[in-house]
Amino acid sequence: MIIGIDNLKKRYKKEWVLKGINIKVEAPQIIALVGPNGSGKTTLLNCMTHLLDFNEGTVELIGKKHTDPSIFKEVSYLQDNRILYGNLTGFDHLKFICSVQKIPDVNIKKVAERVGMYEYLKKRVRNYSLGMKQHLLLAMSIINEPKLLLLDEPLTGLDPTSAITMRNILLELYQEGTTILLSSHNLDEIDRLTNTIYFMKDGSILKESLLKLNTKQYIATLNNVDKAKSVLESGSIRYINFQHNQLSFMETDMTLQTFIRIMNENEIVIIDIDKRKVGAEQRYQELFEGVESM
Amino acid sequence: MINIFLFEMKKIVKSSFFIIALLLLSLFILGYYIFVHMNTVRSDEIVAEIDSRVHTQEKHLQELYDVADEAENQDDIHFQEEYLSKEKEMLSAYQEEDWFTVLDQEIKQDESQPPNTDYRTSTHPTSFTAKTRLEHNKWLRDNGIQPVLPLDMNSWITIYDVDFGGHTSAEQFIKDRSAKYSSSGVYYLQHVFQLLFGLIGPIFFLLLFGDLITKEGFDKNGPIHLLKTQPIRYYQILGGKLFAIVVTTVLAFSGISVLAILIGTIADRFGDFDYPVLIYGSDYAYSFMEMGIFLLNSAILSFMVFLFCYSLLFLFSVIAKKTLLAVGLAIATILIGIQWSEAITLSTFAPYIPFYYFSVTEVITNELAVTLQNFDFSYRNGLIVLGIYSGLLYALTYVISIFQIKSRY
Repeated sequence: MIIGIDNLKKRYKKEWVLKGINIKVEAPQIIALVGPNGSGKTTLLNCMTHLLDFNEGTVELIGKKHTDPSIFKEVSYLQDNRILYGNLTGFDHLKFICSVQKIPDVNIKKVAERVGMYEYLKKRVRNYSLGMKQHLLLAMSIINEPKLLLLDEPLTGLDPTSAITMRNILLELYQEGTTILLSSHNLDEIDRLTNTIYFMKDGSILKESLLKLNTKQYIATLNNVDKAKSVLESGSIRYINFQHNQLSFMETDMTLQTFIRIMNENEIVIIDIDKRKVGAEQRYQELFEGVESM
Repeated sequence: MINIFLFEMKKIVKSSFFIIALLLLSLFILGYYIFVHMNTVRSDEIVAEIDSRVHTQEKHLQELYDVADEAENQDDIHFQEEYLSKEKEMLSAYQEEDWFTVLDQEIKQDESQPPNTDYRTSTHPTSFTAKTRLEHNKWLRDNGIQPVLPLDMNSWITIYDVDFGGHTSAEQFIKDRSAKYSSSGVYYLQHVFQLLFGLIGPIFFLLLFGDLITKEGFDKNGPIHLLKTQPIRYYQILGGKLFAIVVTTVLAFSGISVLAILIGTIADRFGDFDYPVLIYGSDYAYSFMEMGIFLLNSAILSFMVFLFCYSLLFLFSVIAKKTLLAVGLAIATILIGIQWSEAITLSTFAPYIPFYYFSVTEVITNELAVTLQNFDFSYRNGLIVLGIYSGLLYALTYVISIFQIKSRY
């Protein structure tokens, strides 16, 4: 088991900030955690890595209890750049990780070149830009070639070139067998990285979000949307309100052929029908920005 | 843990504040040396003093020779000639810096005084003062040590000298004259230790290491998270920090010592590690300790005092989480502790209060024990008390920080 989170609950004062999180990952994959600020993404990552304690549940990473510090030989956590020491150089940070993880120093040069920070490796971190700090954090996270890589907002402060480099590195790591769990607000980048997205809201992972994305979505323009809605509702078929004369549905809820048959049977005219893939941004809007759904 | 220790050392050494503070400390040691050098009494000053006395004496003798026909003057002339002869001998010894003769003369002069065994008096010079001065000079003579000048009776004072005949000017004169300065390397190191190992040193080092814990950002996802997401345990993180601060302090002590001795040796001379330091005993007993051992003991006890201060800093750092607040609370606790301890000196548990041992020199020379009439205020007890309190405070810090992690969001 690469990630085994069972009914994880965390309370802060009287408020439950994580309400029974369950995640099981047995084979390498890229998973994105998406949700508005305060939904519990960083708290979840911090609980997983024992930076925070929690009230109920269990966490296992790479088959070991999350409280065992030895997991960090195989698990890396890319965090906020406040973890960096301004007076030290990038080299000092990487050297420290090498020394505590018994990694040969020769890896420092390799990883610095891989993330594109070799030229400023010996500069003090306080002179780094936001993007340079992200590069260093990435280098620190991958120098031990982890089996599980956790990333909290890894794309923050990156210019498009750096974001592409970061994405390519993450995809390479995935292909090399690393499981990646990242939280991000950059939904376009998430679409390019993975179709497995866990949407978080108020400390919970929304059940419907466990579905893989990139499924097909159809948007139908109809002569009588209200009648179509009541027909679909009577058959307990999920749909999404689109515009005044449009509704949409997912292929996973109903095939195109079934939709056409139902409309014909109920004498509803299909004026037009459009097909597209569902992306993270659209799903996010549906879940968090009040786009009506059944 | 060695990796964490080395990382902590790197963090300390690469801190601009640390470098600036060390430079300021070095400048201070250099500046203080100028003060000590200016206040060191040289043999030529004593030569001038004796020379002046010789001239006066010769003039006085001449006056006596002019009326030498009177029989009663003959005894006086004989006495004055003998005195002048001794003065000239002393003058010559000082001019040639013949310390054996200088000390021998002082010893003979003291031994020629009628012995005073009444220890109950408190008028300077008390019998204790006279006796210890004599033994001190003998130690110097027998070991061929250059004395720190001046050497007369007015330049030697002990804690038993509390009565100066009601003459405040005389009291001040004796106190000033007995507060001797020497610009030689070893003796200058003692001056530096006396200055730093009171309150100045702990406060300076508290400021120097003030952000050791707080910079980790315990309360705001700070660098502590980098350490805690490595295959190391939390106690190793705190242990590494403690080890680093201890090693840095030892290195700082060593650096200060080398610098002080080096400055003194270059500007004057090396000095003597076997220079005698008076150690008080119970019931007017006394002994002498070699300066080298005294300095070593001072450094060890001071080190324990520093360790205790650091434990306060660690504790307040995890509680307050702000550097200035943590340092302020640590310093306030020390000052209040010292003030409070002065109010309960007669208590039976007083020797087990760590704040007494901030008076490092007074503890080692047993001055504190004699003054408070309690020989439980000892160097050994000081090490034990400071060690135990420091250990307890570090354990408390560990427990509190673990509790904070568990209850944090």
